[in-house]
Amino acid sequence: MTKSTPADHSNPTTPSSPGDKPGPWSRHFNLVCAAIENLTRNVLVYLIASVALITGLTLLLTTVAVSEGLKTQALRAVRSGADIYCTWDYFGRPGPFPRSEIETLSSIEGVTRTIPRIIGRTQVADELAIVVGIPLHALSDEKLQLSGALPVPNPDRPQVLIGYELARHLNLNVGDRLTLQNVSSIVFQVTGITKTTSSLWSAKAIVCDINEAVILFDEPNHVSDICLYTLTGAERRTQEIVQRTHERVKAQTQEQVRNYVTLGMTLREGVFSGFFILALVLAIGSFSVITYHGFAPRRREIALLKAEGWNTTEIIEMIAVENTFVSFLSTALSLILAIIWVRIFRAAMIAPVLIAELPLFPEMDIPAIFTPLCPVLATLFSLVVTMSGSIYTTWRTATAPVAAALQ
Amino acid sequence: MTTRTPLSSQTSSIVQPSQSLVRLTQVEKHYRHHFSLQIDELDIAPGAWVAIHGKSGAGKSTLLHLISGIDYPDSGKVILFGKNLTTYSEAALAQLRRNQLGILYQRYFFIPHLPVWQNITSKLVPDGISTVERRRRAKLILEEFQLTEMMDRSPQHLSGGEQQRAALARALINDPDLLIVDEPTSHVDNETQSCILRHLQKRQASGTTILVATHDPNLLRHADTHYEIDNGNFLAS
Repeated sequence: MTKSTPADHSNPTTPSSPGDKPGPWSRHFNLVCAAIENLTRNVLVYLIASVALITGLTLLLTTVAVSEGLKTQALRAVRSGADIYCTWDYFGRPGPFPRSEIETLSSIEGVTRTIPRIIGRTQVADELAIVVGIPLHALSDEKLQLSGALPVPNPDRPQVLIGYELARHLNLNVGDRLTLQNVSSIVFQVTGITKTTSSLWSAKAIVCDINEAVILFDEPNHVSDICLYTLTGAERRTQEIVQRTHERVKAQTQEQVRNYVTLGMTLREGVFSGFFILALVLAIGSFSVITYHGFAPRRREIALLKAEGWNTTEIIEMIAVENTFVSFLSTALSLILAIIWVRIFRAAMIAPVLIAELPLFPEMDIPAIFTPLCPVLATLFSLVVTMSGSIYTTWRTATAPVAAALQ
Repeated sequence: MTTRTPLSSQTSSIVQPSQSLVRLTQVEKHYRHHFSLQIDELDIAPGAWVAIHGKSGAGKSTLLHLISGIDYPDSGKVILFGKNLTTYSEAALAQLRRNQLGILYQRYFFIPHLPVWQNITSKLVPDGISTVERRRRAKLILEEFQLTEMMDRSPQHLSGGEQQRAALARALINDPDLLIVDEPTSHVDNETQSCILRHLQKRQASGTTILVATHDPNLLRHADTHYEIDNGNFLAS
């Protein structure tokens, strides 16, 4: 039997003109448009489904950025520091370093400069501060970003350089005077304040002359450690000599310290891996349940499209496009949230995991670097979540008998 | 006057005028051990108007699902356009539904977040037909059903009668060779019933085979052949 139709332009199945014949990419274009249509008309559903994903991504991006910022700062500090760090072995741990040893270390071949340091803690008002006592003349070589000037030895009016966070907390400015809890008889004058870009520990530091630190901690015969500066390329050899000639001295080259810093950061990042896996599982689950598996209208929609003549590949292609858009949008939203979290909320609740002794809600700026790797990583993460949460369930629905799925 | 491409050239297997468009042999379908549909033999010739009637729950919709390929029999053969339905590849079955089948479901089944015109033309999307062209076709067919003003509305905002007409428009958008309609005139007013009947007659006149499950005596009267299903048993009337 041959079917015939009375007309032409009034027949819905007749193309309006020969130019309307679909091109090879028209099908894919239509599926992309259908995916966008679904997204724009189901914004709320997708937003709810993506909450776990966005939370996980924001956590990931914030952690990566803070970790990267800390690592960069720490490595920068190590690079601008000494060539060899010497500590005194005391029951297998670093202990007080006898000052008498400084002379012998200075005389080792290849050593150009020896700087003893006293590093300790003290209370300033209600704030815990880190006191760094070094020969102040050594500071002139440091590449510090500060407002004011570097302190110089002054027996009449001891001078100090203080960290930005401490200055902010105690409302101190250049020129102000300061006394410490240990010895209130010494009145320091603040000559400089480090800027936020300086390393984190120095944000709460008080840098003073080593002789004042001796009085502060009442320890005339010992220092915390000794920094050695050597001739270029002589670090390894000098380290060997120190280890050979001074049994209780533990010497570490700048390269070794750098490796420890990197390793330490990696271990801290590892702590977050557990959270990420948890977030990933939760995100996949919630995405799957809300958008597909447990969402009857969506299952019925897939079944209806199947009944209308869509094949499984076409349905999956449309869903994949939807998810790609969701992934990119989630990544963008998470990136914005992470930047806000770091810049405005100072990485609250995340930075304390990476930085010791930081309160849950830090009052100081947290170093963070958003490298191009961050969005790439986040996009991959969200693609894994959305695709895992949807493709399998879509495939299951699309391959099930249509009649059952329509019920 | 344009001549439509013969049905036989559109299908992978050739259907001669003398052959059945739909043939069911020894078909059984069981549901949860308490309901089963049994059909020894059913032939539907091209261009015929076949009506299936019977009580609610007798198995009419199940039969339509089996013929439209949205469900599968537990045993027996469903031959559609000269080929066993179970031997169709997924792509071929999709192509068949898209180009040669029109289905009007008992419960309409619209995609609620899409406007009426997009629901009606959803089967044209994978064919790569442009949005402009799909909208043009939707407008043309909705004009036939006096639903042009509704084309941009959500199907949820349509009355029962309007939804039924829109659902029939969707089934006809591809000018199908086989139109399967499930209870088209139930729960609709007389005007909609007349409209639906008019369109079914028009389609049959242009060569479309019509298979309708109904209680409506008016529709039964217009059928060339009607069968009764009683508690899953298929009886010729």
